[in-house]
Amino acid sequence: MQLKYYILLSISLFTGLLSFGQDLITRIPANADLVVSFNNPAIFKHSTFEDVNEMLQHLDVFSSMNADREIDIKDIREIDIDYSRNAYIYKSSSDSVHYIGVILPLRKDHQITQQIMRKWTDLSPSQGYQRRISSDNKMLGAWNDNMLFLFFGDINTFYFKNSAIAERYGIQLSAYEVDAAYPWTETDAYAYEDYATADYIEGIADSVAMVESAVDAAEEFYQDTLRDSVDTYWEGYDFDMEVDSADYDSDFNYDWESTYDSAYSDSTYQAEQDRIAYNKAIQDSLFQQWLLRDFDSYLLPAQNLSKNKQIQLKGKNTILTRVWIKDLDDVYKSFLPLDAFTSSYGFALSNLNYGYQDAIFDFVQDGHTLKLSSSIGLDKEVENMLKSVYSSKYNRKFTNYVPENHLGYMTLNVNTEAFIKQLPNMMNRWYGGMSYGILDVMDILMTSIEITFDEKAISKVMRGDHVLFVNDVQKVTREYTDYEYDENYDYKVVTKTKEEQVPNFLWMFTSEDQRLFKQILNYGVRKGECTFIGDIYKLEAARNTDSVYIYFKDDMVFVGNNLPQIASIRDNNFRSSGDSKLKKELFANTASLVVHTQRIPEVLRSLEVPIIKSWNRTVQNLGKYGDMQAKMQGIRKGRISGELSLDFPQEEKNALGYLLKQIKEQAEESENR
Amino acid sequence: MALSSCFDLVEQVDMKTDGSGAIKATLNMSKSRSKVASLMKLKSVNGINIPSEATIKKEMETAVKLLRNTTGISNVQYNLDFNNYIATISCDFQSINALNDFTKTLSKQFNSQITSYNSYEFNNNTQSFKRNYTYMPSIGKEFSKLSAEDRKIFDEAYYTNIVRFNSPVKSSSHQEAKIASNRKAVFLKVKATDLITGKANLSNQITLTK
Repeated sequence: MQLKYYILLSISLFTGLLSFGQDLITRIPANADLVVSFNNPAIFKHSTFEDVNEMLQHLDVFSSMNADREIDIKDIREIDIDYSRNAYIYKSSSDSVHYIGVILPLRKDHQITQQIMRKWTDLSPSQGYQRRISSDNKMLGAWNDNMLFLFFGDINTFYFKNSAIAERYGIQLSAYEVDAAYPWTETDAYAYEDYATADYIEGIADSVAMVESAVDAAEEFYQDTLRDSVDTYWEGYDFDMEVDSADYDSDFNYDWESTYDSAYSDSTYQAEQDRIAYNKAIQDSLFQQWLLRDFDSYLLPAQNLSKNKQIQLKGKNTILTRVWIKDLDDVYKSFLPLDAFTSSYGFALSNLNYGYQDAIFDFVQDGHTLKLSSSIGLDKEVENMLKSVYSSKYNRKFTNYVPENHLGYMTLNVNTEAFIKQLPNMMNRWYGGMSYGILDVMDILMTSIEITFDEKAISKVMRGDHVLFVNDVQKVTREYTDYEYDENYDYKVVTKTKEEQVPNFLWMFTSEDQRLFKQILNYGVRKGECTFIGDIYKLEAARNTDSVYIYFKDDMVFVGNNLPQIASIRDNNFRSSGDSKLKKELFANTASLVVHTQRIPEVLRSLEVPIIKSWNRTVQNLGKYGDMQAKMQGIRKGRISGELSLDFPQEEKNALGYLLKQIKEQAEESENR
Repeated sequence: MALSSCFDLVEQVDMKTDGSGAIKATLNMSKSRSKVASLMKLKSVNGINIPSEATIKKEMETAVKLLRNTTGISNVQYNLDFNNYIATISCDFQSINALNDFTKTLSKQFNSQITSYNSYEFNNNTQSFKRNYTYMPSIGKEFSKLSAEDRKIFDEAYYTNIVRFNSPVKSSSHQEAKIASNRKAVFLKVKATDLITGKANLSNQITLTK
């Protein structure tokens, strides 16, 4: 069911009618840890209803929603959402539960309940809002003339794996889970402390009244008297609301029978299934109680994020959607199997700390270019560590060796000396807190690195600035085996040659001390692995590859597979590109990858690279695109930022228009296939 | 696939007067090795599965093992050169039936139907060598399903058959087949597309001088 609402929300992003009302940012609670803001006015400025409708029709979004008879629309304008104002989705989490709130602006005189909540059950109004609950009791909705608020979420199951909490809520832990709850055998107090947070204590205090009814519900459920148990639960909890309990049993459909219809008859397996079902019933019951308990406070939060400038999109006409994350480290950790790692390996992944703080991801429409930009806040310690790593400058002499025709390039600039110097600090900071046992070993390892490596000397060998160009294709002569027959048709194997096109590359980096490279190459020469002719080293071709040439000039090392190009560097007659914008761009970022997309079809053709039939159209279309770029801009004002961008063909009025058209055409193509 | 390509399949049969002999088949894709190398990086192209090096090696080893256990087949040798993309397999056969068994084994191993349209006969008394070949329209049908670009792969592909004898060749019935100057070999080279589309036929009756 929730999927339908995600789809509905997606629809809301692409349509708009002018209406008036306040921005709903004040409805985002201060404890939200993730907020997605949809800049509807900006989206609608760049797209049309017709485009969006057509695209959705081809993607069968309308018909799939209509099939369930929950939403009966054929045009996005039939939904009474006011798309001239921003919409928001947020997520807030605690140890025990996480909630998702969807805030949608509504048109005046809307009929939203007829459009998306028809099968829901009425609850009593609260704080001037009408309210309804979904048939599975897992989603709540509240609305007035101005907005619609949808509220749902889920239990954090790991919360219940702590034995103290499990006992309080009547959860039955397996032997494995009991162990997992106390992974730090020598520091039980630590484990307890970890859970004895304000949230935990408050959660217990608030929930004591609910536990009995939840356990009752589970036991009743276990006895396969689902209807009775749900009634008991609702009767036992005074929500002061009008709820028809008969509506609750229809979708409360844990598949009990099929679980027991399985071929397994093993009693241990059976007992485990019983335990899982029993726990799930308790957790479902608790979640429904908590959802109802917290609904009002989330509907009109006492404290909100309206003052948070990172969420505000007012006046930012190019940003279509923004995702704001309160603490990126927390989000990262939420995807890690913390319990499994902790219990199995003793790694306290919960202590993993990269120093990432808030993060902003923007989906930007800038003329015919679409961008995904990111900006991540760093804590002071990590900022200081990384700042020095990203502080050095590119060798400006690289600008003398920019090939005129190239398909793309890649740049990377890290300060090798600072990197090696900071490596022990980074390892200690990032991973040191993960395991008590390994901490000492880590210290020894890092100290060894400090003593063993002379970072200054290493940085002279390779400073850390690199530029790699993928040049134009070049003709090369390839040998192949053929057969020649004499007059008696005895044949002999002969080697013939033919010309082929291959791409070539030129990689350059700074090296003030080139002795090590030269010694290795000279050793290779003695061993017959490479040759040294005219000051250029040639690494003999490995299987199905081309020879690679290496040349040392001043404080630079050049590596490439195009001999004439390397020779021209040696002979000081390399024809460098006169494109000053390109040269400036080359050094503007800590790391970058730029592909001149429009050249890809031509190059693939000349290389005779096989193209899968379903890619034919896509590859041909690439010829109309501009550059595809990925950039990382290093550390500025305590933040690290990056950007992915693609210049779309200038056939539609803007990039978004072209993207919608492409989605529509791809859908049509799939239909016809 | 937007590429033109070429490969050669050379089949050489050395017949002795008693009906025994040796056969060597060579698939040479070295002229297209860059393209073959690109193709082999893909698992499948336009619905056609591209086997990996490991799969090809495994399949070949299995085929060789089967051949070594086939009655009348001996001295089975093979070589897979993934630098130049040349594959060879050869063996000695005691009789023409064993040669047909060789074809049958390879046909079964590589899931083809060669034996249903290709077989050899040798009559010791009349000293005649016969190749029976029937065109299989199903191959042409499958080929026609490929896109024009995919069909280009076969434009420069050839099948060459050389049959050598100890005795001089008296006559060869195939109009395109050429008899060697010393009259001890018959040479036939046809385009792969002609074989696939049924324009070329490999049936041939070779009579030797007694």
